[in-house]
Amino acid sequence: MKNSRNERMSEHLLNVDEEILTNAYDIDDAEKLRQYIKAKNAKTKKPFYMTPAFRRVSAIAACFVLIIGVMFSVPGLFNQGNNEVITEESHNKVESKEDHQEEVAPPWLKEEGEGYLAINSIAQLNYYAAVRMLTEEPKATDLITTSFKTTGANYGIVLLSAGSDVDKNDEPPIPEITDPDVSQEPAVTPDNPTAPNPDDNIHYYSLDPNEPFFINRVSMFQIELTDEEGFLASKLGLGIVDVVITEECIWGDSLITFRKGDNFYSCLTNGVGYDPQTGERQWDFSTHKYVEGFFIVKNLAQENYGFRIKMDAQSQAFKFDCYEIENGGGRVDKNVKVVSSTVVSEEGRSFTVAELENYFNTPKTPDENGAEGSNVHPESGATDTSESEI
Amino acid sequence: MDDNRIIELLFERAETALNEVSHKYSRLYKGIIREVLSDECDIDECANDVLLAVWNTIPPNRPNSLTAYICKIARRIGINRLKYNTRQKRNTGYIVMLSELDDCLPAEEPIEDSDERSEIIQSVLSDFIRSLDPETEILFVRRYMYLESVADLARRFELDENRVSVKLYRARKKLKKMLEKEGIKV
Repeated sequence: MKNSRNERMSEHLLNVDEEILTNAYDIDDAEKLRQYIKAKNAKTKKPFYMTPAFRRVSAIAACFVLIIGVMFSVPGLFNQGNNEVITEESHNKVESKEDHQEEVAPPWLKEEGEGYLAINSIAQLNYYAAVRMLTEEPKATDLITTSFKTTGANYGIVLLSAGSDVDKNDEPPIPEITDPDVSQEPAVTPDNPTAPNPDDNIHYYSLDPNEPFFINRVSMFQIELTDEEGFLASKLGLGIVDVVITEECIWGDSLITFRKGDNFYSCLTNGVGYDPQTGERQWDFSTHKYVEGFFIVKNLAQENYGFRIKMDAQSQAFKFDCYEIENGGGRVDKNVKVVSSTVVSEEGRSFTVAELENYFNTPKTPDENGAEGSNVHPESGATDTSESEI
Repeated sequence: MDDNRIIELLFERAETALNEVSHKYSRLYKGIIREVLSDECDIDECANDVLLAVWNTIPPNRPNSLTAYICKIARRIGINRLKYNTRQKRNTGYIVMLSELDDCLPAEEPIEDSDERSEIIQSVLSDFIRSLDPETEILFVRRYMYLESVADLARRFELDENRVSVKLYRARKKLKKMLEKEGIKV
């Protein structure tokens, strides 16, 4: 295992002042923590006029006075009106560019020999199959810069985009949403350990992990979760999340997989829309059919949420919304933003679990990569900004 | 037993010294190793290696803080074992912890380490940790030095897991900004 930046950072953290290490070790329960907080706050207590709270209140009061003053000194100012409508998209777009320009992070690559990839679920299978497909396409791997940020994963991919230039300000008409097709749900087979029971709200459908898993047309992009109360945040954590959509791979349904670090969450489509005039697509996924290991679980009784992704005519995801479907949990992820371009592979391929595990656990060399065209290994030379990372 | 007394026993090469170290610190070093490795046999072996390393390195070393010293030894032994093994379960605490540190890393090319650079970085990191609010400070150190999991931290300090995750996430972001501002490259 190479000494990655993460490991060096970890070592540096370990060598901070010993007093800090010892202090943290000694504070090992809630009561001691409370005492420590009290003691430290008492040491750093400032006069009331220097406290952040006082400053905040003062700033708010000053703003209020200023606004009142302007209102009374400029009559009619608020009567002129402003016809410019700031749409959510344009606001988000501007904010996105400003926010993320300085957040561009270098690509990171799988560390040779580090850890071992064991695929234990359909979610992981879907994700790594997509990664493999994308990294084996020269066009996709040529996108190696970032609007993709490091996600802290052990097996990631380096993707690059300068950002889409498509104008997102005009909200397209919502295309027709198809109803979920339940007629194709599998009947009981020897592989299904649980027969669907019309009286139950929970059904399990299994996939054989030894059988090839077929994915058709992969899209991958990143979103940022900032709402700590949200459903997805509870599954994945806050921050940058990889999103993979693979089409018509589970009994005709498409699959979305979210991944942050070692956390995965996957669920199936609830509907798809397409506007032939604009070429835009709309995906609706629902948590009521989700992945658990190598099972698809259908549960209508739990709190369920939908995820709506809009893609433009160039297959670039530009909007991600979360909404409540049923049983009111109230944990809708708010303000989810798409923070990267979308990388697409039009191919359809099948992979087995063993094949993917073998692929990702085999160290790559430049000679091996030459035949395959592209790879995530640092020595591959796929990018001149590549570096070893965890 | 007081740490200084334990160190004196080690200098005197008294056999009881290791018993005292084990009695006082086994929970610490086994806990750290358990976050790195998953196999109980490996954990037990590494725990014995920690005691051996303490015996072999004190003297000549005379650490100011035995706690920190044992913590570092345990981590290094655990990580070396992880590297040696050809196959590990993916979700060891160490791997997860390392992956979280991506949030802290400035967007710079890595450069070769020197002792002087390392000292500067450690000084900046020490200042960063001291600048954190007390709760985040303890959570951050226990997570990234003692490899305690988010769930264990939440349980230990009677906090919500989500709160712990959010505090650590914000601390990592803050560290990244600080390192970029200082022009520190890792």
